[in-house]
Amino acid sequence: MTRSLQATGGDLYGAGREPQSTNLGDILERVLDKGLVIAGDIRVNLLDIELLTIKLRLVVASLETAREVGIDWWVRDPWLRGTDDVKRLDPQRQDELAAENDRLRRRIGELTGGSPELESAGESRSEDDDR
Amino acid sequence: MSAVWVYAVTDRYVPVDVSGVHDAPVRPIRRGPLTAAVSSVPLAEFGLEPLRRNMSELTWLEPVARAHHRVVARLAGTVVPLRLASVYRDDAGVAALLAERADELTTALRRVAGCTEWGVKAYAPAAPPAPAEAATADSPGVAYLARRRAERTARDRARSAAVELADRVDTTLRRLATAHRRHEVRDAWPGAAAPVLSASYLVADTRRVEFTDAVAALAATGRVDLTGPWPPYSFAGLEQT
Repeated sequence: MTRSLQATGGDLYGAGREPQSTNLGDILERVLDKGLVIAGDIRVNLLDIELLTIKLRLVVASLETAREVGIDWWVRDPWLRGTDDVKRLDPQRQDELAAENDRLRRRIGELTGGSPELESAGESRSEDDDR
Repeated sequence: MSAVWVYAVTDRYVPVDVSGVHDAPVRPIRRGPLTAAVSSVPLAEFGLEPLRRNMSELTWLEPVARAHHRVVARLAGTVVPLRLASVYRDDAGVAALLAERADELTTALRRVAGCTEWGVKAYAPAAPPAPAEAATADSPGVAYLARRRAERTARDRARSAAVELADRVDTTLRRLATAHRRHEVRDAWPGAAAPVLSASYLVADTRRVEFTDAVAALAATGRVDLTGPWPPYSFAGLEQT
C-alpha cells in the first residue's frame, strides 16, 4: 500500500508493477467522480443520467461483483432505499421520481427479465432503517 | 473514423511504456509548455451514443477505467488527470484546449506539483453487543421499552463515537496536507461497513513519510484504511481552492 517514492517519475504510483492490483472500486471512484472536467467534443454527462444507469446496471447485472469491489453509491437513492426519504420530498418531485422509477423498472425488466435483487435490496434496507 | 481520448495534461512528457485504452499507443499533443497524453479510439465505439451505452456496462468500463488510470499513473512530470471519457474529434481540438485554457491548466499543474494524493477511509468500531436482558419482574411492555431505550442509547453512542473518530482523523491529517477534500460518505450496502470518513489529501512528497506515519498511528487506534499514492485526481479541478 505504501510505496517508496521514485525520483525519476514514470513509476511514481507503482502502476507498472501491479497493473491489476488496484481495487476497481477505488479506481472508479476517482476516474468517474474526480479528475479535471473539460468540455470535450463528445460529451457524456456522467453526473446526471449515466451514473444512474451505471449503478442500476451494476445492481441488477452484477450485484456480487459490485459488492466485492466496494461500489455502493446506489444505496443513497431514496427509491432504492425504501420510501422514507421519498416522503420528505415535495409532491411534484415525488411524482417525477415515481414516474422515473416506473420507467427504469420497466427498462430493467426488459434488460434482465425481472430484478429480484433490486426488490430485496430495497426491502432489507428499509427494515434496517429503524429511525 | 477515430476520435481522441485524453488522459491527462502534463508539463513534461516522456513516452510511457504502457498502452492506452483498447491497447492503443499513447502519444503526446504539445502546445507551448503543456502536453496532453492521448490515444486514438474508434468513433464507432467512442462516439456520443455508443459511449453513453458503453459507459453503463461494467464489463466495458472496467478495462477502459484501468487503462485510463494506468496511463495517468505512468506519466512523468506533474500531471493533471482528466475525468474518464474526455474525448475529442481530432488532435486539433486537444491542441485548442491546451491553448485556450493554458493559464488555468498551468495553475492546476502548479497546485499539484511535488505532491501525490492519498485516500483515507475511517470506519467506526463495531457496535458493542446488545446488553444481556436482565432478569426482571417488569411486565413485558416495560421490558420492551427498556430494551428499546438501551438500543437507542447504544446507537447514539456509536454515532457520536463515529463522528469523533472522523473529525480526529481528518483534523490530524489536514495539518500535514497541502490540500484536502472530504468526500460525502456513502452508505454501505446492508451488511457492509460504511466509512465514517472518506477523504483525499494532497501531500507534498517531502511530507510523505510524516503523513503515512500519522495514518499508521491513527490506524493503531481504530480502522483507518489508506490508499495511495494516487495521481492528484481529487485536486485536478480548475476551480478548487
